[in-house]
Amino acid sequence: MGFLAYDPERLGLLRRAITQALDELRTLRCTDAAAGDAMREVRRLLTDLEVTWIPIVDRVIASSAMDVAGSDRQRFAALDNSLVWTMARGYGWSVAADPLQDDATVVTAEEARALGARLDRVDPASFVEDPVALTWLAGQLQIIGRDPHLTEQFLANFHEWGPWCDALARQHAFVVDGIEYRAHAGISELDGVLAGFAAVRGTLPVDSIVDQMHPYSAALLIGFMGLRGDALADVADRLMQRNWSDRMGDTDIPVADLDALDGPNTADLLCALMLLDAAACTRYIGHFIEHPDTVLATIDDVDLLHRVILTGTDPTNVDATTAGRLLPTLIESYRSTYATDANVFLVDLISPWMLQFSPANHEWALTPTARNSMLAFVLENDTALERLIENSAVITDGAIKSLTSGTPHQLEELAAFVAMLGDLVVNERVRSEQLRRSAWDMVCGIAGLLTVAIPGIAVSLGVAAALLVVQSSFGPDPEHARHIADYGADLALTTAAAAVADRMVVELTAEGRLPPGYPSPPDADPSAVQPSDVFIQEFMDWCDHLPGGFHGQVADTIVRHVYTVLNPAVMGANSVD
Amino acid sequence: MSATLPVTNPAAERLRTRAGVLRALAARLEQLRALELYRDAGPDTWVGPSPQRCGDSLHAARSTLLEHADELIRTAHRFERQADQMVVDANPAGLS
Repeated sequence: MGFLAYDPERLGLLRRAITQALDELRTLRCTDAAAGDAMREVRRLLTDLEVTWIPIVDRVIASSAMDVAGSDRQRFAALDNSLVWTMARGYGWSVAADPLQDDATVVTAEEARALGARLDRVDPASFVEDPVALTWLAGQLQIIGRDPHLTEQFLANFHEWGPWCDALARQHAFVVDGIEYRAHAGISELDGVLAGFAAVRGTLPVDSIVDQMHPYSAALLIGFMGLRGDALADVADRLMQRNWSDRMGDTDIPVADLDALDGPNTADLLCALMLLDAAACTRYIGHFIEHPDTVLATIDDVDLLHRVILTGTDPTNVDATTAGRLLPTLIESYRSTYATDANVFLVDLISPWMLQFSPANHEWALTPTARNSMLAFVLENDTALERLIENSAVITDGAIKSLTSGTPHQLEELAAFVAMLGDLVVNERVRSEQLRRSAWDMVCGIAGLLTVAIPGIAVSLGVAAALLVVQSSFGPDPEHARHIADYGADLALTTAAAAVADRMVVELTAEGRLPPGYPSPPDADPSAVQPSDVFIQEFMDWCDHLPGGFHGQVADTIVRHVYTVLNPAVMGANSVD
Repeated sequence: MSATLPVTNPAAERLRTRAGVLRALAARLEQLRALELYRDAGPDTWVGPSPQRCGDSLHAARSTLLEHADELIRTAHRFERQADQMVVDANPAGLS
């Protein structure tokens, strides 16, 4: 049994109008066969009015108006009677029992308007513990949200976004926290209503809604709004700033304590939301570097923030130019505000972009001092160094992606990159023999992978072969542990240079510029303390005997290729401060 | 047009008579007071599950009756064209 509300005077007029319509319908006659369908409809309407609606109208008119303050008050006050309630309380209409129950799957414009008005006036706290009311409300809001006209009607009367969403969010936080409470409503019922409110946003600007509530409530609400990209990042930043401002005591928001409960807090929720959309992550980083404290000082699960940053700077999501705008500033932000326990994350951050930190790469316009300073900060402890070695696959993939992106890259850049990695990871700080082996494998693996994975780079066949020689011929040997810290990188490049020279001889011989059987150039000497020194000296001596001497065309061709791999000036620039 | 053609065919005359009846019925259907009941039974008068059902029912009946009225007019027009054709067929030279 439901309720209905009526205007007694107008219901009397309806009774009279139905009677007159019945009289008219009864006089209608037509026996033509072609009018059969029309006459059947006339009789159906006549019966409907006589048998169904006149009796109901008569029963309502004959009944005593129900006292809504009586025993049925609680049932009558339920949200699903909002329309009847609003007409009775707001317009003084009479109320009667209705033999029919409301069809919850149908929402009329009047019901939408009345529901908006009702929600605007009630205390949300009295409903958020009632799973039945919440389920019903969630369904109604979804139906309204699917229809622009119903949404318009609802929003004409509903303005209390803040009280409702804050009440729902408070209950949400209590349930997540596990606080013993009277409520029987679960997360699904609460989220259902929040999703409903998100659905009835209509054309209202998001900011105008979220500014009315606590950032925690807003973080829950926007999770159901389907925001993407810039829109999501911008509102997330807006909420992060307000949340931080609240924490700093700039405002007095009653539900601010929600962030202190167990479970995700405001910053956690927002970061988790942005993680669903890479474009939002990238956009948000631009905001984050403007005011990193808004998150760093508030977030519980800092790993979520780190994942946002890593997603937003992943080479699959951003180009090198964008990364170059974000990464250096991010590293500086961490250096200036939050330098503790972030090294592993920072290593993960730079790993895909190691090529851009190498000495011969100029995509990011970093000065050598700035580059070395950043690398030194990121790799300041052994944990970070070990992480860098663990990230060899990421480093390789990132380098390949950059080198094959269409931007011209020179062989010297590749050599410098490999040398830099060698210099970073094969040094005296890597004391564990196992780790040294991993580091060596990483450098050699990267060198080998780059040569086979980058068809477009200006790498001659000789150099490619040489770099593969590095991978296959020289592994770490415990006896070499006494060698200087950059021995590995030095030997790698020296071997590559020797292979280049050897390959050049083969090619020049084929071209007829060298006689058949011409003596081979020198090899790298792994037993030398500094293989490159020995090689360069022997190589120059060898060049002196080429046709035309050291300054001849043949020597010039070979020297140019060899020096692109083993360039003493580049080697000197590879060290981290 | 029927106004200029001589009426010489009883079958055609019957069709025209039927067409007239159907047009008259359509006109009455379109003028029924019952068609306007949905206005009196709307949310300005009463609200609730039964009022909603009542309003929906009256609105649906109105639409159906108006569709029938349109169909009656179309049928009447068809009858009239058939009658005209019968006359033409009966008088191929157009003689009276």
